[in-house]
Amino acid sequence: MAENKSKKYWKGIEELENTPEFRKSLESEFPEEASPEAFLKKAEENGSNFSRRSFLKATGFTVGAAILGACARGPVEKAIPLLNRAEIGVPGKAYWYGSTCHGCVSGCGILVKNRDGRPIKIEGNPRHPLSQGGVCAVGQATVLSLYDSKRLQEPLLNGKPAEWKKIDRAVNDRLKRTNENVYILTETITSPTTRYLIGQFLKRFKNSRHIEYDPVSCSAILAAHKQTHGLRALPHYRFDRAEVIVSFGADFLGTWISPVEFTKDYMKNRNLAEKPPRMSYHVQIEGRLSVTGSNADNRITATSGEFGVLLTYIAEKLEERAGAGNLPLKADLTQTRVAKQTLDKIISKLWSAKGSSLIVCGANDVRLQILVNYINHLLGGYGTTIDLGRPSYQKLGDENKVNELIDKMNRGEVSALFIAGVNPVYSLPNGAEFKEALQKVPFSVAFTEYSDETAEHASIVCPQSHFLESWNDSEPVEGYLSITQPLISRLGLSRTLNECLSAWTGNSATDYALLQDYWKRHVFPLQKKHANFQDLWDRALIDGYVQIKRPAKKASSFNMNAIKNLRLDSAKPSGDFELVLYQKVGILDGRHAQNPWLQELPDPITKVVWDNYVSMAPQTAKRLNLRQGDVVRVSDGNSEMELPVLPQPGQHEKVIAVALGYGRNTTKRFKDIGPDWISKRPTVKEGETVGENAYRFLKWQNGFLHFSSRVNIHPTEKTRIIAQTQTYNSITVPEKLGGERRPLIHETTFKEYKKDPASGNKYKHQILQLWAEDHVYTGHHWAMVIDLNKCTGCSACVISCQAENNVPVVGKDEVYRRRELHWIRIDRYYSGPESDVEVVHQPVMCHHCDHAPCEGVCPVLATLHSDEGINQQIYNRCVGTRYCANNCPYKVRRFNWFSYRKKDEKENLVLNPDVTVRSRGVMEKCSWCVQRIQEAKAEAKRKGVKLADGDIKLACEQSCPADAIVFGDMNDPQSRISKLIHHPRHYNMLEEMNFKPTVGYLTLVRNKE
Amino acid sequence: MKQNLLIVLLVILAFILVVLAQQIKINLPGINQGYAPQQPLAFSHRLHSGDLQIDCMYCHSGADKSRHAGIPSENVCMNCHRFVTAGWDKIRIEDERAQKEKRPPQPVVSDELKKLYRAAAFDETQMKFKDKPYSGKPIEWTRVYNLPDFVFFDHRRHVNAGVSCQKCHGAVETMEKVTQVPDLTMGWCVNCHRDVNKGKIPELKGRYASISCTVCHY
Repeated sequence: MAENKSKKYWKGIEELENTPEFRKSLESEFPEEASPEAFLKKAEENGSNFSRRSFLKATGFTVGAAILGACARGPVEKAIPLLNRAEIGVPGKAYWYGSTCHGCVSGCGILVKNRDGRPIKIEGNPRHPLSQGGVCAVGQATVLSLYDSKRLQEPLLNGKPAEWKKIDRAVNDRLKRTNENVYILTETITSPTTRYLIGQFLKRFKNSRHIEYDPVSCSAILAAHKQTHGLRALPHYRFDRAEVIVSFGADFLGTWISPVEFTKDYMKNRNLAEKPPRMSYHVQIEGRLSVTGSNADNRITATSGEFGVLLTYIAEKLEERAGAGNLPLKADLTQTRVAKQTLDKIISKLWSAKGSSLIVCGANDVRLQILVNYINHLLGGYGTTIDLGRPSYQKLGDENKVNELIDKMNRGEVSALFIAGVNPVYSLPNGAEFKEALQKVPFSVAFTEYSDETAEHASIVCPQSHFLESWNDSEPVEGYLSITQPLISRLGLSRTLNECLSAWTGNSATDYALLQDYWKRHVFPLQKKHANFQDLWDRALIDGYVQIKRPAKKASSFNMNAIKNLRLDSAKPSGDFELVLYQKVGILDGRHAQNPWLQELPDPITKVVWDNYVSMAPQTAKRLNLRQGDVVRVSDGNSEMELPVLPQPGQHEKVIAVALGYGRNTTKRFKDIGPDWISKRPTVKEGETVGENAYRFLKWQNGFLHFSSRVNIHPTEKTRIIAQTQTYNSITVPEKLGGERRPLIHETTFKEYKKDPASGNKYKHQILQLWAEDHVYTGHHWAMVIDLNKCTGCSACVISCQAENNVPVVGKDEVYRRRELHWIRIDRYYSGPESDVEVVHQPVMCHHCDHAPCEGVCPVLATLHSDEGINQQIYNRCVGTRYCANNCPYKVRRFNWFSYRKKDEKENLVLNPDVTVRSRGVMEKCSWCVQRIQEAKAEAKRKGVKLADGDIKLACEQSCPADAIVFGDMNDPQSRISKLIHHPRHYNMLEEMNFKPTVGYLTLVRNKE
Repeated sequence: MKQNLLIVLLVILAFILVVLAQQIKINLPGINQGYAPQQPLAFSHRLHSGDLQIDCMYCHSGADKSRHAGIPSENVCMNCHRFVTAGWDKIRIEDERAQKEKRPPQPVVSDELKKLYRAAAFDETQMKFKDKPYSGKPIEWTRVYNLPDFVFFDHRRHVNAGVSCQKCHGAVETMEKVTQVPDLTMGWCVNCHRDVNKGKIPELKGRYASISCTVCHY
């Protein structure tokens, strides 16, 4: 109890400093309630002549019309059956298909829910050996892109729509006249079939190349392994084998290479359920606060300029212990703020966990990566925590080749250029150069789903099919071959890259035929399990993947010359600040910028939506006299951008951070997002984009693109609103009501936990009942437990919930007015001093209290308790008094201020037909996916079996890459949930109030001294 | 005299009003009890499930598997109507006429079934499918039982519990044109659930029908 009370948790700087604005915000659930007078005044200002009299007239008319309308007969509805049902199964039933996500290059295994012939939900495939049932926010949101009516519908020839026949003729004619200098520029190709087809396509031409380029590149890791192990490969990092992890700025739980797989693996070594409990030790050294950093046991702030010194020191000391002496460098610890003792402690941890320790580095600097390889070599990581024999194929790009390509284009040495899946005009710092060079290429073809910055300048634009419409495969890590199968016939006149390549190689075939053909000839011989091809194929369709064995890669032993010749530059950097460019969990490198779900996903750390911004340490902001929302100009001498400031606790004071992936042309469409009303402020103004493009600040260095550079910042007079979800919905008690701090978070250290599993969780209340228990749950009694130790804040659950429960997007302005509608939020708390914060992520949804405060205040009985312990929200009864939201201690109820639905028929196909679409004036909140509970119960009844523990997986629980959420029946003593509820770590939020919430938490355990 | 006449008239008027009130049923807004729309194809449930005794689930095969019982797709109709092209009486008339006129009988195709054949792309003169079977336009039936969008009724649960189709849909096997029999109000649903729990419905004795909101509303 004492340790909890003394530790102060805060959500934002305003709460820490207890500003008057913050105090005011606590007082009312719904701020800036507009009075009718104010509304009318505002309307008058806007030139509307809307008097009180007109208002009454309009009201009278509306009521009259509503009464007359109600007298009419119900609408005539048509029931149109399928002509031939054989293929689609029983209408109204969901069917799940195994496939592979192509939301990024990680290639996670997914299960896609197909309801009445259309895919509506993406979930993780528990059988998949890499992603192991997890799927991230981006993967979940890709289903919305499928129904995007602004996707390219047909091919363009010189900017005009044309038929595919015409395109094929144009390309084939052109290629007949060319027999050399044909180039294909793509992102990393993880599909062996596509790679094979590209090879076949290019074979005909002399002097042609396939160039792979990743906007956010790992090329330095590949190049470093070429030098140290003689193999240009990205190793497969095995976090499941790592007991001590030191990450230098690699956000491996958020965005780095394959975050879902890494989260699953990382959590295996932080398993407190095991006996004896195990917990890895994770050190994160970084300048900004990343998702991974927020979960680290020991987080050290350092600029990426200091990484060299720190790595050198670690290598030096490890050499001492290993008795080696190859390192030509000496660490000068005066160049860093990090204390020697801190480093020594880390080094001895690393050394004592030799063989199960892992160092990763996110910097794209080949010299640092060579040092990292050397340290991992000294620690015996190769072969254990780092698998180079079966490498990863997730990032193979080499951006330097793009620079060479630009030179060739400028010299006229490129006769035809095919660009697929990348957008270099947008994502290269010298994008303008690429654009100019592209105009010198006589023939260019862009494959893209949207008309993007690069495709605008191509002679031919080929619309790409969404991965839910196409056959393909993916081998993210060697040996694990995943299949992609279509779930819907194509919604536009699109084609896949594979089909285009085959059509232009001369043997036009469908993507299905191409895939099967490749698998027959090249995949089938690589496995022994299946004796005939059909078995292999069927297995792949059922499981979503097959395992194959390729001939072993030959990595040489560690080449010491790479180390012996290593030099680091120690030149004093120019510029006041180090700019760190990073990817956000939802937006990544910008490829999904047009997806409104991802734009409205609060960033796990800053909780900002619909924007990028300059985050800087609060002390720096104070020193420069900058407040949140003040626009500053960031410049590095060549480029400039203007972005608002966001003070970010836990950030290095010399570091400012800006997210990549913003400022995309495709985000101009969001001017219409949000409800149309008088006080509306558009999310983006006409012709504006969401955020600014920060790719201009990437730095070329020795052929690598660096994510950090030196910049200066200059204040401007402007300000910009930043919509943030962190500061409201605060459970802090307002001062006028006592202002006491309640222990919402219970935490302890691993050391204490081993002594006493209940440590940190002593805040128990004895609650006396006056009356006998009036609600007895004789059947099921549902409950949920969230493990705070596992939740990384990755926000996959938020998008999963949004997709499952038809949660609409409200737009930046509405979020700013506290009106976002997400049913699950992840509260992010800081503790400790501003400069060195500890972070807690706490998912909060409706707690389904057995003594629910919301139920008693509803005047129309629109919210009441079910006989299984669910707090029900009945939309058709709700009249919108919002009393329930006022009375909810957890602040989880959301009100539909407007009808947020769009009349976009295509986009509305994504709606889950099992969940009501809420209309204006209705309260809504987490229903515990009651449609899934009902479905599971109905199926169990139909089969005549008992509902088993784990049959019901809620949307948030299913997608969680960390398995932090468990749902089940607490009346079943054998269920997982019953065991967790009686675990010493279990506690309820605001237990002392006797709401009897059925959502509980497990204490956070940090591996700290 | 005049007064007596007035009393007699008033009594007659009252009588007429009572009779009228019994005859006309005024539905509250949103209730469509007695709704019997004209369907695009004059399908007779009386013939198929009454006279011919075809099981309901032969056509509405989703009823025990899915939320929706489902309108049968055309290929289910064609299982029989690939061979049966008209009513038996019409075929007999043609047969008799052919015998009388000493000629082979002509194929008889009913006008209603022609609509089905058009949808199924079936050539009734050749008695075989055209090049692309089922490539026509599906028949657009008018929905009779229509629940609001915020109600999620599940056929599967009721059918598997042993509720007969007629319990809610009335004696469909006697209907030439399907009519909405119950009023489909929430009270009607809940009363039945309550009766089940009280053991008032013999075939569902011992079962429990929840009356929680989220049984239907989510």
